[in-house]
Amino acid sequence: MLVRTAQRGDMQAFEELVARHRDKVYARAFSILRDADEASDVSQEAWIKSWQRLAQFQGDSSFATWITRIAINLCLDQLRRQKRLQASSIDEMDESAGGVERHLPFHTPNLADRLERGELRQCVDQAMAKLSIEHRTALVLHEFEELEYKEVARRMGCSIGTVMSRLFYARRRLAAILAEVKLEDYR
Amino acid sequence: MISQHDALEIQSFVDGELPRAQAERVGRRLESDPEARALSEELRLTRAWVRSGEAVARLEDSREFYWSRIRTGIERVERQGRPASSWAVRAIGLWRFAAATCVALAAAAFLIFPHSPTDKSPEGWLAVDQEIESPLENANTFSFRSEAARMTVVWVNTQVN
Repeated sequence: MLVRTAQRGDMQAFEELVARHRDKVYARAFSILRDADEASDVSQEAWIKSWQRLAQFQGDSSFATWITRIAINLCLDQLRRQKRLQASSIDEMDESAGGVERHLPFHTPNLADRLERGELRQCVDQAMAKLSIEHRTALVLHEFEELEYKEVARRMGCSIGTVMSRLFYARRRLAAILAEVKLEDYR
Repeated sequence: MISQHDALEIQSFVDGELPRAQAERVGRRLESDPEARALSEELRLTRAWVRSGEAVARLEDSREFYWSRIRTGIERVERQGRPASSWAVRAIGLWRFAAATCVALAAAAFLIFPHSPTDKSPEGWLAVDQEIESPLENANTFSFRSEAARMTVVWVNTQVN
């Protein structure tokens, strides 16, 4: 209802939409960029673009999904402009050589049993911050946006094989980091 | 030891990206291969933790401040997209007409006026690629003009006959 009103040009209705979804949009941008100022700028730009394209929203997805997709595309555009969305030479060597990470021992720490939900989120978030931007972006698109491999590949401008390798590396790294978590750090 | 191909296949199985027949095959392997099963379990747990919820990063800006910046941005793009005033439109149109006319005249001049050497070329018209010597009334000087090189050379003979 609010969206329909905003689509008719009602700026107050649009402001209400911004107020309701601004944190989610910002959080998604921050998940990728890991910089508060950049994430704030991108989220604002996403809102401006969404106002211009509001007539195109047909309700195929929720409004929150629609606006966060705009924010993610802007994040990816920014990363491409800054040439940050490219595999580092070490990553390329790893992935082309068969992935060093597959030789790492397996970890199955029972974090969920040891931490509260909020603590778990914080723990995982800090671990994700340690990943490279390419690996983190692949995780955000696949896990938070719930995109399939081929859609992640299309958004990131790489092959499906690269997406799979990046996800694999990111998950194995996260598991190794989380295995080192000390309970007292989150209490 | 699990190969890179098999490791990625196990990941695809965990993510539900495999076609049915392939998923069944991988599923059977997991039942009989402890190493593959351990990898699958780790990937599944990690996936669940990540999906347990994105850490909520909140904007520190107040609602009014954040909205004021968005509204300013919207007004800016709307101004950029607004059609120009009538006088500006006319001025731009006039400028375009004048520029097009000049180009057309220059092209016409190029086509109409001869630019190749002919015997009938009127005096004063120079061939584009011809060099001309013209002895002047003063026998002690010669001028030499080349349109191709766009230069004029004057030879001064200091010896008086």
